[in-house]
Parts: sequence; C-alpha cells; structure tokens
Amino acid sequence: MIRFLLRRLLWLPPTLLGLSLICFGLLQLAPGDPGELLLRQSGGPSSAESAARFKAEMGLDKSLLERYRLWLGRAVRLDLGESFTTGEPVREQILSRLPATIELAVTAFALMLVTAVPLGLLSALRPQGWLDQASRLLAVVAASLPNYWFGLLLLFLFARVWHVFDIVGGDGPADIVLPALTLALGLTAVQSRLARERFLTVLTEDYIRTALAKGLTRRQVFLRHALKNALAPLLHLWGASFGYLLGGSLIVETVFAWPGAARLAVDAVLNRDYPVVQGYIILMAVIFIGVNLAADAGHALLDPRVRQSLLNGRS
Amino acid sequence: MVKLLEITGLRIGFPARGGPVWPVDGVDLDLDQGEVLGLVGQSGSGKSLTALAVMGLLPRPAFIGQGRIRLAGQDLLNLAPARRRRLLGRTMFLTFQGSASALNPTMTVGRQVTETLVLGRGLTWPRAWRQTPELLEMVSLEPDSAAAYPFQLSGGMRQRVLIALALALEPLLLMADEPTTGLDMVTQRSVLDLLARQKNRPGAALMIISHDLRAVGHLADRVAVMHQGRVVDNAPRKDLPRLAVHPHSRELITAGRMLSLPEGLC
Amino acid sequence: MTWRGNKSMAAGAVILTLLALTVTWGPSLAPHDPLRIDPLHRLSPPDGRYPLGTDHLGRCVLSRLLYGGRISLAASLAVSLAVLLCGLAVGLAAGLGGPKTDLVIMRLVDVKLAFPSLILTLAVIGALGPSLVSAAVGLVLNWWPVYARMVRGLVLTAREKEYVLAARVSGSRGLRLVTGYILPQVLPPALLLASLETGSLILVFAGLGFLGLGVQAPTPEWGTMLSEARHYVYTAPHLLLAPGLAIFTAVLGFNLLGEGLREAPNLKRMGRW
Repeated sequence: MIRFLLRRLLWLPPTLLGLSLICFGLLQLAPGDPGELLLRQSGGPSSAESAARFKAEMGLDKSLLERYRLWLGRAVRLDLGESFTTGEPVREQILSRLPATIELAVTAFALMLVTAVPLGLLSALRPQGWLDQASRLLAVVAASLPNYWFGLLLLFLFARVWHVFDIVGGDGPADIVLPALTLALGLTAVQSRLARERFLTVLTEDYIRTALAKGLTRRQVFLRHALKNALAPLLHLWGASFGYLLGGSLIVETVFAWPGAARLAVDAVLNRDYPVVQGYIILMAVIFIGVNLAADAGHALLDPRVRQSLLNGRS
Repeated sequence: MVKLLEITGLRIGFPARGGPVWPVDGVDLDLDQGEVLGLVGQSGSGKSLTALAVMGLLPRPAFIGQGRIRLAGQDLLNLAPARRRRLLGRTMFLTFQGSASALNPTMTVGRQVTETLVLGRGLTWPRAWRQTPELLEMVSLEPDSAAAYPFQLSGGMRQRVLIALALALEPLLLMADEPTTGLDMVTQRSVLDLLARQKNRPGAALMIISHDLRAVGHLADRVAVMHQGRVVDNAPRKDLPRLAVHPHSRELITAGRMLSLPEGLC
Repeated sequence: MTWRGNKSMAAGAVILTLLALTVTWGPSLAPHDPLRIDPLHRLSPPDGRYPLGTDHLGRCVLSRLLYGGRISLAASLAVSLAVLLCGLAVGLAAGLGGPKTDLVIMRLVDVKLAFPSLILTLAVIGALGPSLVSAAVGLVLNWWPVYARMVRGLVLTAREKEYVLAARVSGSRGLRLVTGYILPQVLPPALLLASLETGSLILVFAGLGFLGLGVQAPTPEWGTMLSEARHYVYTAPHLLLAPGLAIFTAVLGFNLLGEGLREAPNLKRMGRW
C-alpha cells in the first residue's frame, strides 16, 4: 500500500512541472504589454517611462528563462503575486473564497452519491422495468439540460412562482440547496447509469449466489458482498467527476452569485487579471491532482487485486 | 423413510421473442436420505438450472413453469419466499465450480469461512474465527490461507474452500455443481473424498452434478443422465451400463470407459 | 439493431435534421435583423410583430435565435471536428511511432488529463482574451487527449491484427497501410465518441458564451442570449425560454443519436474502448 502511494507520488513532479510550464507559457502568450495594461487600468499615466519602470519592477525585462525561474521560485513558495485589479495578494484572495467553492462542490457530490447509487441499484434490480426505463430517459434529459439554464429556471420558479424568497440570495443554510442541485444535475445523470451497470454486473456474479446459498439475508449479501465490489471501480470516475464539479462551479457560482473562487476567476478572466487567473488554475489543478490520488488510493484500498497488479509493475 | 428430495415434472423456462424456451422440460428426480446421486449430462442439459431451482436461486428471467419440488416432504414452491430463504445454508446448500468468481474477490478466505461458520453453527464471530483454521485443515488447506484472497489461490484450492463452506454449514442436502472440473486427477480425488463425508451424516444426502461420469464414478449410489432438459436414464451405478437405453447415456459411458473409469462402473 | 437503440437514434436523427434545416434556412426566415435595436419595444413579450418577444435592447428574439443557432452549432461542430482530427493525429503518432514516441506522447496526455475540465480552457481564454476564437481553441486543447488515448489504444490493437501484419509483410507501407488497414478500425469508434461528445461540446460552448468568455456582444449566440436574459429573470422571464430550449433541443438530439448509435450491434463489434 505504501509502495503504491510512493509510486504514484513519483509521478507528481513531472505533472506539476508540466502544469507550471503550461501556466507560465500561456501567460507569455497574452497579447499586449502587461505593464501598459496595468497602468492604464489603474488610471495612471501610461508614459513610456513609468511603463519601463513598472517592467523593471515586475522583472519583465529579463530573458524568458530568467522569468520562468523567478516565477517558479515564487510559485513554489505559494507567492502568487498581486491582483492587477485590486492589488491584493492573489493567494489570500483565492484562499479566502476557496471554502465556499469546496462547500458547494462537496455538497453537490454528496447529493450525487445519495441519488445516483440508490437509483442505479434499483434500476439494476429490475432491468428494463419501469424504473429503469424512466431513469434512463431522465438521465438523457438531465445530461442534455444546460445547467446555467436549469439554475436560472430554478431561481425563477422559487422566487417568482412559489415565492420562496429566503432560499435565494439570503444567508441561511438552505442557500446551498439550489446551487448544489444545479451543479449535481448532469453528474447524477451519468453516475446513476454507471452505478446501474456496476450493480448489474456484480449482482449476477457467482459469489453473490454463493453468499445467498449460505443463508445470508439479501440485505447482508448486499452490504457485505455486493456494495464494495460494485462501487470500488467507480472511485476513479468519482475522482474525475470532481473535475467536472470544479468546472461546473464556474457557471453555478455565476448564476447564483455564490461567493466562491470560481466566480473570482471568471471575473479575473474578463478583467484580464492574469495573476488571479494563474493562481486559480494552479490551485485547482493541485486540488484535482490530490483528489485523484486519493481516489486511486481508495480504490487500491478496497480491492486487493488492484493492489496486486500495481505492485506487479503497472503504473 | 420419506425421501429427502423429490422433483416431479419440473419445467424451467426462459422468456424469448417467439415464446418461452424450456431448458428444463419435465424432470423427475429423487434422492433418499443417505444417498449419493450423480447427475450427469452435457453442458446445457439443464442440470445446473435444476439445482438452482431447488435452491430458489434461478437467475432473473428464468421461471418455473410447472412441477413440484419437495424437500423432506415440504413443498418448496408453494412456500412463502421468506420461509424458503431460511432453508438456505443449514438445510440445503449448493457449491459452484471453483472459478475465480465463486468467492467474493475482495474478502479474505478466512473471513468468508468464518462468516459461514457463524451461519452454520450459530457461533459468535470470535469463536467462529478461532475455528476457521481447523476447518481449513479439514480440507487440506494451510491455516495461513485464511489471510489470502481468492485470486491468490489455485482453482483446486478455491474448490476446497467452497467445500469448507459446505462443511461449516452441514446441510441436509448438499449439491455440488462441477466440483472436479478443471482440476488435476489427484485434486479431483481429494475433493470427492471430502464430499463423501456428506454420506456419513445421518439424514443427509449428496448430489454431484457433472458433465463427466468419472467425477461421480465411485461415489454415486445412483446415476441420472440428463439430455436436453430431461432425465433420460436413471439407474443404480452398478446397473447403469446394463440398463442405460438412451444413446446419449451410452456415449457418456463409452467416453468414460475410454478415459479409464474407476472400478465399479464397468 | 435492437428496438431500444432504434428509438433513440430515430428520435435523435429527427431532432438533428430539424435543427440542421433551421440552421441552414432559418436566417432567411428571420423576420428582423438580429442586430437591429428597437428602443421603443424593449423587453416586450411575444406578439404579432415579434413572435418571441424582444430583449433588453429591443432586438427580435426569434431572429437572434435563428442567427445565433448558426454560430452556436457551427462553432461547436467545428470544434468537434478539430478535436477529432487532433486526437486522431496524436493517437496515430503514438500508436504507430516507436515505443519512445508513444511514451512521450502518453505522458503529455496524462499531464493534460491531470487538469480538471475547463481549467485549461479558462487559461487559454484568460491569456488570449475572451472571444469566439479563444473559446474554440481552448475547448480543442481541453478535449483532444481523450480521443488521442482512445485512438492510440485502437491503433495498437489494430497493428497486431493478422491481416495488418500480412499486409505489412506483403509490402504495404506508410500511408497505404494506415489508410487501407488501420483507419477503418479506428474511425468508427472515434466517430462514435465524437457523436457522443458533440452534445457536451455544445453545452460547454454555450456555457462559455453565458459567462461572457466566448462569443462577445452584440453577436447573437444562444449562450450570450441566456446571459443577457439573466438580468431580467424576474421582469421578463420569457427571454429565458427560447435560447435555453434551443440549446437543450440541440444537445438532446446529439445525445439521443449517440445513445442510439452506441446500441448498434456492428459498432459494438468494432470494439469498445
């Protein structure tokens, strides 16, 4: 188990390096002189002198390699620079809003689990039954629904039609319901079908029959034998779905005016605030890598065959 | 003495596009207490389905169209499902071929045996855990194998684990589906010896299901041959070569003879 | 083909045909210039003159919808095609090149896949500034690795097939080998994936428009129309319906088509990845 984790961690540096190269490289592609841009945005004079001075301050006049090394040095220390628009340190800005985003993503994920797994199980118990057909239809519809549209419709319904104002835009704990629902929608659709496939496969395996033949109750068979085997391979996909959630939060936070990091990033892109964009990208990528690592570790923990093949040399 | 198992006119069907198909089409079988029955036939002759029907574990689309199954006089098919499920394990048990998926792949062998001891002997988990190595030794497995996972064991070892489960449960009716398939001759013999213990328990009976006559060879008291969903021959082992009328049975016997049947069947 | 697959595919095909017709001929049916502002009739509900009402600048919603459809769909399809080509190229290179090329390329793919979805797109748009082009480029960069990985796997399998080996022995080389023997194995599953993914692409592309990160005003596009409607959710809710429904229908069509294709038995034989 430890060996497996170490092996995986070995892949971390090259991945992070690639990440840093991409981030840095993209920023260099940005057209326009950031120095000029900044000064113009802050309303100051854009004389050639002040621009040049600014450039020297930011170290923008050095060679590409130098700049990269400087940038990397600062990034490793988690010094992500200051925002072009507000001048605040990027790290603080993002970190202060990160909890809201994480809260939303985790709630949506929990909603997905609680809906998709039971739905998948019930569909698998009666394949082609009415529940199965209905959930299949529902899944296609939900996967085709734009979540920005869905969110807006929900807002309209709750605020206008049903006059439930306090669920919208207030500060209560119920606030998270609508955004989390919207975020979870597409994901739940896909995962419920995947869960169904897994349960179908597992429930027809021989060892389930052996377990039943022994005299275990159906509930015992399900909890002790079926559940782990059905869901373990899905862990990978759940880790990846976290990426979907992070991407979706860009939209959901905007629709519901949720004070999270994603909204900050969208505004930053619109305002050409490169340090903030860059900081957001790095942070999200690191979180995502971490979540995936945890998912892989979880899978290996649950399934000894995975542990075996990993130790045997596949990466 | 009432027969332990009585199957009359059993028909098992699968729904299909042009009307149901009947992989089991009128099976009559019975088993006395203390008897060993060998149920032989080709793959697809319906033997496994028959056993599954007795257990009440038919796979989803299959259904019982007709027939009666009685266990120790008790009509199984008209029993309430919950009561019927209670018979599983301690009253009747079915072992499958020891393929990789016959045991839970993510649970250690020891835990699976312990779980069965709890079910079969009503022990608490700690006591059952303590008895597990003993049970493993009974089937000639190292006590250490309790910590192993099924995929780490050979086919023969897995089959022996399944028999250990049967020994832990001590059911009245034990059915073993293809217990020797895929195993080498020596292991086959040891598996059959283990199954033979079932004979020695009062009131119990054993049904060995196989496509190979040799597997039931020296254990069976009677041999029933199934072909295309029906029992075509049913005779005491010694009399089979003489009484078997169906061409298929004759094929099986000849094949068995060519591959050196153990003594008693020729 | 199973009846189930048939139904989905038929429904999907019907929707898509209608869509294609609307998009091709729709603009000529548009009653007004989609960019024309009518300050006297802002935010009016549907009536005789403006069949779907007007938006906050008095522009005809129906006209904007019809013209916007072209952009939303054409751009998404273009991106889809580009992703397919990129993925094919990279996958073929990895599968047909030597083991070293394969390793390097696959590591690159892994690095990209370590990014959560859309983050890379965000980076590109962030660097180049929001526009239709930067959104398209960002999406292509985000999506190609999945195709590349799949194509590579298919190529590796196809390479070992007997008739390919036979062809190589009898002298077929290079381009002929690829087009004659490898591509027929690779293309159908790749196209299947493309049909399944196009729906998602449309969603994301319009989503970027919604956030203001893609197509910029005043160009009509379904996503930007929704974004404009957003500010008037409570006062003019009718603005929400048309563009959202349009996006939903288009994506549904592709998803149904993809689902139906997936059930098709001969495609199943081609091998699932």
